[in-house]
Amino acid sequence: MYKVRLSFYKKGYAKFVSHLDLMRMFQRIFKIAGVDIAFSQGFNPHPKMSIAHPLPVGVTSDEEYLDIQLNSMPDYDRLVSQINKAMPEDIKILRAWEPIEAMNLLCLSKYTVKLTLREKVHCFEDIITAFKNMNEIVVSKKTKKGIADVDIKPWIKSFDILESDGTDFTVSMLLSTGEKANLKAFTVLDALAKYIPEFKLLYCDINRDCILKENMAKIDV
Amino acid sequence: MNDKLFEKLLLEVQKPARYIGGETGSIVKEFNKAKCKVAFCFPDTYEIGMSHLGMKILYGVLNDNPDYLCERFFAPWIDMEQKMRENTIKLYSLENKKALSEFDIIGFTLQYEMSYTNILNMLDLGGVELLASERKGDIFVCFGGPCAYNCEPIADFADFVMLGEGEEIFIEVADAYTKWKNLGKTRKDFLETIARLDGIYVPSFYDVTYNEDGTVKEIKKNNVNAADRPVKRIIKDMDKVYYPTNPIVPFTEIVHNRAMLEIFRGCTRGCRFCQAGFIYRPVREKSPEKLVQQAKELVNNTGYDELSLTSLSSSDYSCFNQLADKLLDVTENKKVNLALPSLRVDNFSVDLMNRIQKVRKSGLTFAPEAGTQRLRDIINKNVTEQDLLNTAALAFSNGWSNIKLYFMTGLPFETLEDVLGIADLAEKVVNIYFKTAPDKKRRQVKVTVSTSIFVPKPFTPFQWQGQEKMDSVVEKQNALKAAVGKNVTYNWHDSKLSYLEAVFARGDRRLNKVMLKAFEKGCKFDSWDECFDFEKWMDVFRECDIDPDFYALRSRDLNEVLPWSHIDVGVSDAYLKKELMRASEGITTHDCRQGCTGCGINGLGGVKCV
Repeated sequence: MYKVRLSFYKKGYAKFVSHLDLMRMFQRIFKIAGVDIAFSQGFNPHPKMSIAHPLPVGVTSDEEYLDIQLNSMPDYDRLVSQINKAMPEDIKILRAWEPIEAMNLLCLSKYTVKLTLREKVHCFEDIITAFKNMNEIVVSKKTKKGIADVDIKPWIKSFDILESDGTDFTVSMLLSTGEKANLKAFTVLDALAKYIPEFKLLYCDINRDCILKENMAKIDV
Repeated sequence: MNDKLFEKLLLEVQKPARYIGGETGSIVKEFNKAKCKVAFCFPDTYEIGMSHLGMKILYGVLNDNPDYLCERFFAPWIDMEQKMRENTIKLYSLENKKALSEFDIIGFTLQYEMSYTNILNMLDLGGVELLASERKGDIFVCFGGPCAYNCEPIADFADFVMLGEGEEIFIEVADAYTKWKNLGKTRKDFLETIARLDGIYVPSFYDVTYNEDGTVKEIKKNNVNAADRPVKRIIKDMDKVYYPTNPIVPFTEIVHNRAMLEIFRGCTRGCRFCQAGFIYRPVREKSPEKLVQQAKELVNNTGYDELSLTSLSSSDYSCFNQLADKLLDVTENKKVNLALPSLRVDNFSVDLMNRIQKVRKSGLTFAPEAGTQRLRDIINKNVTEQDLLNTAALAFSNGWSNIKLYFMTGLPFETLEDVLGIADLAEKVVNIYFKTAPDKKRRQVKVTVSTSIFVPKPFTPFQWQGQEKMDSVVEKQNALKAAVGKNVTYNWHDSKLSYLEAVFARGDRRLNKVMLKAFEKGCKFDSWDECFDFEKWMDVFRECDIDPDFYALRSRDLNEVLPWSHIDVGVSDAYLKKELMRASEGITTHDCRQGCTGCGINGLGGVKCV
């Protein structure tokens, strides 16, 4: 069995394709592209593939990771071009390689978020600073046990304003990702709306720039 | 379109992926370069519309032509429609995200009567005038599909109608449109040009007058360019016609999420209740070589794990077992399932089924349609009780334990005895299980009986018959509920929906105002339980002063001018009358494959039935 790691982007309207639909799409695409994917044993065999940290519906990404297992040794360049021939326009493979590190080392997501507010806000910088300095940032979050109040502050690793122009802002967020602690960019925006009365969101455009290890490095680099 | 606003709405609705397009296989052409821009509209949700083969075919035919483009439209679900209306977003295409009003020819496929209100809703959402008489400029709305053969109840909303198979005629219409647009002539001029083509019906070129008793007096053409009786179009050579082997594969789960292979058109069985059996005549098969090639392409291009044969009674294909073997050679080594949705009890092969359903012994479905031999003879469903019991025995002894049986109630000449016969038949199937199943676990056997309600349809021998009254159908359903045994599950259809279907199936032009009013009152997605509002419909009929019983329940005189009598589907009126007579006497008519029964379809231009 040969383990292969694929990185891919998801842009444009494809951000509305759910994780489950994406996985089914990959299965069909692998079939079309003649990728010799390994199947699990058992009564109901399924292809051996797993995705690093599923992207929420409505978020684009520059780089996601998908691990697959093949029955035969791949030619990585050919693999990428074969798969991409069958992929839709807005989702394409960037690279394929033999993985070195375990995927669960990835625990941080860096997002760039473009915001348009309904009304002009004075001193957006001060507001954000005050938000970041709060003792706790409590939001209702869906957990395995149902909806619970959670303090998300420890999971916001950084929050910086990159650009501001009237009602339009671009911010960068570094948030915890993974099984232990998982914070969506949408949840941070909900928290902003909850704590800051002036923060009236009209539009937002969230992009995951990369998924990183604890030490802020990319995987396998 | 305001992209940011649109994306914001998509975050707030259920299943946003059905509104985005961009699937593999979708074709996005440069919008303004196309000489004729066709909007293909399916008046139901994406999940249903994308399961429809006709749309895949016409989408491919039009986009294959470098001069034209075709983009898709579906009815947005209630939540999406509300957001669109609140934010004044017009109904847009999935490809270039252009509003419906920016297209040249807007085609709706009429697959079932209860989707009609969605047509008006989609036109309204798309910014297109509802009534053909009020449309201006160079935009035309047309209808096609099985219900288009009698689309009189919605004829006021169509500029023209395509009758029959669309692969050739749609291109001819687009050609005519391109020429017409360059000449800058009147709308009427375009309609007169295409009215001369076989397969085109322009409703406004015909006047309908009525007798005092409400029946149709006369249907008379008012334009010399129109045919006396517009005739349906058929494809003569199924091996030469375009077939979509690289169809769109949706991101989301849809109703029939699989590759579809059409192996022939038409059906030779002649079941007297079945509209498809008459309007899709004659039978035309594709060659085995062509089918194997198309199967290979479909499997290689789509990545689907199921290939489904989609003809009316697929196992009737000449040399079906040899074809199935060849197709299985294609599918098996690709880990693809071959699916056979329509099975007949009289030619069921266990060997074949074992090969087809290697892993999953999922349920088998058969449609005896009626509970007694007497009634099966009347409807010309040429299967016997013994056929069913033999097949059930074969299936049970080979490991199946789950059988679904489809029947109809309210059939012409039906008695309570016939309906109770359904329970008897189901019970016999259960008993066969206990006699034949190798591993008799009492709880394992599952026989499901489903009954739909007969709706008399135009162009069938039963087109003159009234539908049975709702309360009497419900009584029969209740009697059957009480009669089925404990190993049988019974499901039945809602009588109200079937009643409305009967009104519109055999309606005339006076129902257009009913349709308009129903739309104005908010009727939509009538085939969906959560949306169907029968009382609202009854209010509409009262307000329009129209008696729906006149259309649904009334048995029509054989000499009556039927509202669709000016349309020619190739099967003669005399044949339908003869078939009705035979039905009333309980005489069956054999399958056309055993010799021509003289329905008249061979007169439809050079095609000889199989």
